[in-house]
Amino acid sequence: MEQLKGKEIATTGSVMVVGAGISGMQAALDLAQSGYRVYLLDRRPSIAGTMPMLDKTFPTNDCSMCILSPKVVDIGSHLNIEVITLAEVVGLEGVPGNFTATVKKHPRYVDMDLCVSCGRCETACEQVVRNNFNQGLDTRKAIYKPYPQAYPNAYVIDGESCLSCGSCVGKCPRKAINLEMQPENVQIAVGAVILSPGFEIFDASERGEYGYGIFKNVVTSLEFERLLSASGPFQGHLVRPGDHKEPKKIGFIQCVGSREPGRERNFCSGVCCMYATKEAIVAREHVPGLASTIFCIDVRAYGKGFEQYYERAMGEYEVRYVKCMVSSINEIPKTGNLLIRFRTDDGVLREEEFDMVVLSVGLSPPKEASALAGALGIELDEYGFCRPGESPGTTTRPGVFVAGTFAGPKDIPETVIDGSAAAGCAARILNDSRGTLSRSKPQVEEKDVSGENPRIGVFVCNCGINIGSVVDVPSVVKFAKGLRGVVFAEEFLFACAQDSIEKIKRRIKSQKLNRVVVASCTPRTHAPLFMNVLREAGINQYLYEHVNIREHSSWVHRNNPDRATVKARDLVRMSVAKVAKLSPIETTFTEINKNCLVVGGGASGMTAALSLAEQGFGVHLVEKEEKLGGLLAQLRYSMEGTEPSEILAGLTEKVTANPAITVHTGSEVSYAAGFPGNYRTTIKAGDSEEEIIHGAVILATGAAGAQTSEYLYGDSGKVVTQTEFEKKMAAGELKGIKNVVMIQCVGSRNADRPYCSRICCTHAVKNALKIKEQRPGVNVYILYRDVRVYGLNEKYYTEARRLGVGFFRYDTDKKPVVTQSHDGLVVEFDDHVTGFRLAVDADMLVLSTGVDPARDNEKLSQLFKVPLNAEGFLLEAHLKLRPVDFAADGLYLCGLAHSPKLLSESIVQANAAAMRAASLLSRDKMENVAITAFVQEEMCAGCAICVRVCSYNARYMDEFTGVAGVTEVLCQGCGACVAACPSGASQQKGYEKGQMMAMMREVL
Amino acid sequence: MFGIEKERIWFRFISASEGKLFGRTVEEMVAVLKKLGPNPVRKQWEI
Amino acid sequence: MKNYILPVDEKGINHSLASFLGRMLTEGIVGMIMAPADAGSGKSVIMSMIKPEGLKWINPFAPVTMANSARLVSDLTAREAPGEKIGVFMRSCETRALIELAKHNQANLDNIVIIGMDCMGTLEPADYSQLRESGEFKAGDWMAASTAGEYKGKNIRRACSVCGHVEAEHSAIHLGWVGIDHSKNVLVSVSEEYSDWVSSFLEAAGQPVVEGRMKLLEEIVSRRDENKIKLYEEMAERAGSLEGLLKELSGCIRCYNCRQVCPLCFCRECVFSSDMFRHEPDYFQERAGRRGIMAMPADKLLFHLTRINHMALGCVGCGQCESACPGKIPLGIIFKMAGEKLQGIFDYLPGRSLEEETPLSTYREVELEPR
Repeated sequence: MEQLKGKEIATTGSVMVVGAGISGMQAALDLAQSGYRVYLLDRRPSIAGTMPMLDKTFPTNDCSMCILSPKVVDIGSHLNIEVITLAEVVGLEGVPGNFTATVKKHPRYVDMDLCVSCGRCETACEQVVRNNFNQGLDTRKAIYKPYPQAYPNAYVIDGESCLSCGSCVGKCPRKAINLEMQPENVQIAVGAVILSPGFEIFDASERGEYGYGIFKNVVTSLEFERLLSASGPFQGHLVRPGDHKEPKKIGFIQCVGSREPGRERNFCSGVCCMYATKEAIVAREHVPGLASTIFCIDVRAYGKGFEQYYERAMGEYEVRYVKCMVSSINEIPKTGNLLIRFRTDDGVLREEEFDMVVLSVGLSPPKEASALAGALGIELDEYGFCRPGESPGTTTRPGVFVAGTFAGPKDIPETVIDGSAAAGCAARILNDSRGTLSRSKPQVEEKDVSGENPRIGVFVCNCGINIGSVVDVPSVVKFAKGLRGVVFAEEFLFACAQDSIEKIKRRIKSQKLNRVVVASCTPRTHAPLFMNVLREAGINQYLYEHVNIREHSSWVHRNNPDRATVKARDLVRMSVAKVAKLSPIETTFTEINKNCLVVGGGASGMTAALSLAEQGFGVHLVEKEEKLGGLLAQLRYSMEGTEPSEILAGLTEKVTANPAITVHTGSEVSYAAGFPGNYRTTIKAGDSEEEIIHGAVILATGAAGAQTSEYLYGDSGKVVTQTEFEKKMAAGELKGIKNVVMIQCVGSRNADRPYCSRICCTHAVKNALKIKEQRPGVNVYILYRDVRVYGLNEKYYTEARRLGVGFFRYDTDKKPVVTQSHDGLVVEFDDHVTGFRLAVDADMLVLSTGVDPARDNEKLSQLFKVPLNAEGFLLEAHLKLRPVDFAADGLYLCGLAHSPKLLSESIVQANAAAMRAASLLSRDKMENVAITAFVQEEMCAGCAICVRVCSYNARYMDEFTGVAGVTEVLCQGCGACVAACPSGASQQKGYEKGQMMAMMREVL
Repeated sequence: MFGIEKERIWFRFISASEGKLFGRTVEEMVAVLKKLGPNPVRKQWEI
Repeated sequence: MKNYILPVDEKGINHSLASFLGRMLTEGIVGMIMAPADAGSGKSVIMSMIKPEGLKWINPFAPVTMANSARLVSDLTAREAPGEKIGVFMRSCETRALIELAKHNQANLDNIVIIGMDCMGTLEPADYSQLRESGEFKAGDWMAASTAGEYKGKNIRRACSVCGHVEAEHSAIHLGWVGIDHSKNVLVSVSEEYSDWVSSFLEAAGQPVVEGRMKLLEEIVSRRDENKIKLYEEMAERAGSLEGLLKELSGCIRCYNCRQVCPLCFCRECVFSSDMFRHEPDYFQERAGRRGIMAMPADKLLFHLTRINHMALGCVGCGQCESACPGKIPLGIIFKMAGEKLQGIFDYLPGRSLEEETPLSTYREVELEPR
């Protein structure tokens, strides 16, 4: 076998990512950044998956599109990512490291190289069809762009609806439409495959009793997202679809297509409780006074910041949660209102009227799952999700990895983590071919234009008719020709088209231009394109100004063409004045040290260290205890049946045997300095200190099992924590016991510790199943507030109930009472179903005490200048999209240091953190942000306000000169110091005061 | 306090995601300014 | 603060004070003392003294501030804290300005011992010089008359007439004379650090002395507040419209005196002295062309608005700008009015405490709410 030759055969340095949602995008970016070529496939005409459809995201209420767009732009502009839309994998031959994938490309009928998205075809098309992006709440044409920000930025014909009438073909000014396009199969050589095809939502019409599809004011949660969204069918005005009236009272029904063993959906979708909570909050922000009721079984607010968000929903937004079973929904014909009939715990059937009902639909495996499984030779689980291989992120076929919701329902941060982790798994097997297929920008020598008088070229775009039909483009060109410094001006039908780009490049050379202004559409998407033209023409790319005469002139002043033209001229005049004053900005680089420091030698730290070592980087693993293992050493069982002790032994052995890993046990970080790519850290072991130099840091410092003094803990030997119980079980110390009572949320979800510890419900169920397995006769009572056994683990909860484990809900105002009698413990509590008060003689009382943040977090946060959240866990750069990064490059986190999580989740996050670090370490040098702050030293009075306002630690005081400075490597160019500087000494490159004043003078 | 009408200077917190709100605010401001007429500052020669 | 009595000897208050300060120097409490002194010519100057002999010139209670001494402390300490302690005589507006400067790294308070003193306001420097030169000024008379706010036909400066600060905040050693029989005693209040030293040679002050004084101080403050309301109303009338403001500013010749004497205007190069305001010649034609006429020098309104924009948060209302203005523009009051408004929005009081961060360098969510 070829594989046996090991390192001698070269692998293929490319990876195919199937499914370009948020997890596929993350995997693609991480791999491309670390030297692999990536083929990013999606069966849809545009990338980004489901996230663009969401309005806002919990628990920060960030706009979904706003946080997503930058990643889409990164994908689109990355040289090493080839996006292949409307494509599916139909076959995979070969072995890990050397696969050949067969990809079927479906026809788009629009040539993406020619299409500039002007939209004339759409106007011409007469075929109106359901708009899937808006969940069918409105319509689109058969030729369409899924949504304005869609990438690739090109139209597509929906082959199923197109009548082939050809009316669009003639209207296209770029001759981009070709109705004759045929599907084609291509073969692509790749070293590994990552599957991230995402999910479908559950078809709500399967639950006939809810009347979805019959009653107009019953909508799915995804439809509701579109109703809330500013880019949705009603521009963010919340109305019900039936009569477009604003609803005042909304009912949310949870677990529609989730937690239904009878329907062969014995899993929890993991996200619905939170998105319903978010939708209720956002709805109330749209309609003041709107009342929302969420009908649910449990409220599963188990993630970081979720419990607090849920509390806020109940308090600040008056969202009502009703724990019950909903039996039916009926429409009141006259009003279109809906009558929800539900049975509460006490067995009483009630009815309540609502203006609108939202069905919180669950997540299903993607439609193409079985086809995909067949084509790739992987196995699916009983629901159709991807069956995991031996470790999280793997599939049953080596070299094929899985990420995101295809591996089971999960929320966005876990999906993003999955993406990075799967990328890491691929990179581990492709280490020898890193960089062999990646491409880099050709270097062009830059002409020195300093000392030259400005020779400005102005290029004005018609954007088809987008600009030209309103703004008098020829007059803008004529006007520009008369401005001081302008030596050339020209108009284009589409300035961004490839032939125009080449023309601009020729003009720069023939007219000896040294500065360029393009007046077209938004700089957000197009400025980088034109800046690259300058670069390729040998001019510093920052000698460029972009004018947006589409959004700012033709679109907003559509009804007033004359004034729109005047404004376009004014804008051009301003930019010409500014561009004349610009000076070149040098792009600088930082060398990157190839070693990584991993702090914390538990499961996460060891996993991260191994991943990095196998990817070819040196690792210093620092553990404060004398032995590696962390909290993993305290576990005896896992839910899936693997032995934690075996995992620990395996990890420890691999880590200690790996020559690239230097293990520092009994050690602590005592000092840290430096910046991304070049950190200097002092490690202290006893009295000896050692300085190590490294390029990145992963903080995997874990957490602590929380202690308690509640429920007679410490007073009675029969009261133990969940971990202690597990140890006793493993040691066979539970002989002769009959009754075990477990109390959940001991010390969690209260005023002192407002967060949910996430793992306790799963641990309780795991230990209940174990004791039932060991001693079937033992009675187990679990007293809970909400059962938060989320995702695919739901089946274990079902199994526990099937085995007779009793689950009893208690409220915080009526906690269980534990008393010690002469012959044992008595636990008293209410049965929430019968209403009876029960008393159990407990042979063992097990307390789920939850997780406390590690005590060292405070110190680490100061050493590495990274933030903590209010609860004392390390706080990542962004809760949704940057779950393992800190704000500054080079600093990453994983495991329990981030928040409470299960072992498997810690391992995935550790893989992700390692991959994020690798994407930095694999580069030889890092391009620094060019638009940074700088100091005019003679003006600086040394007041140090800049140092105080800088969020990136990029500003400092030079103690010798008393003048402030900028650490360019750290500066992100946010401009806060520039705004705060009272002396005008802090300035922003490319936005200097003199440059801005020149611009303003032209407009005033 | 320097005699410029309060209506001529607006501060609103609008996040990048609130395009609609931004548009509405601009429209509101334009309407108010149209009612106010040209800024009297323009008539001052000594500024 | 603990209170002690410094008896005034037959040679007068300055003589008694000189011997107190002499002790500070000879006993090594401080290595240098900076205090207003007589230059003999009838002018008041600030002098730094390291030997007790020089103390015979001191005249700190003279109602004049030639320069805001906060700027002088900045000169002494901004680059580096002095090697030994320096005692600095300061009035309230000066200590508050000093705190603002220290917040911006323009002064280092590590070795500064603030010797604060009661201030009932100061006269315009020209008025004071005139009284001195004509021999009409008598310190004791002024102190006795000061609570009225007027002395021998000369009014205290407008900024002082609306100032609510008699005692100097942040003092390590404070000399109180208002509400005290200052022909006989000066009330010396000292911080913990110096109380052992002072108690070794001064008697503690009785409670009644202090209480009587507090009552008078309260009366003065409320009177000043009334003045302020009146003056603000008057000033709003005069400068509260654009026409009014431009009229007030029309006398500006952009001499930059106001900027020069402002204790907080610490930029090394003012934007108005930079290239940005060195306009191209055609700029003037274009400006004049728009309205057919323009006032010269240009940018007067912009200059003052920019300065208000820069200084209003930190303005302590010392009024030095107004005293230095050759055009007699009521800048002090305009700045104080604007300043108090802005400071109120951020709940910020300049000079209140060194720990209070300037609103520019902090962020609170409530700031997003319209006010």
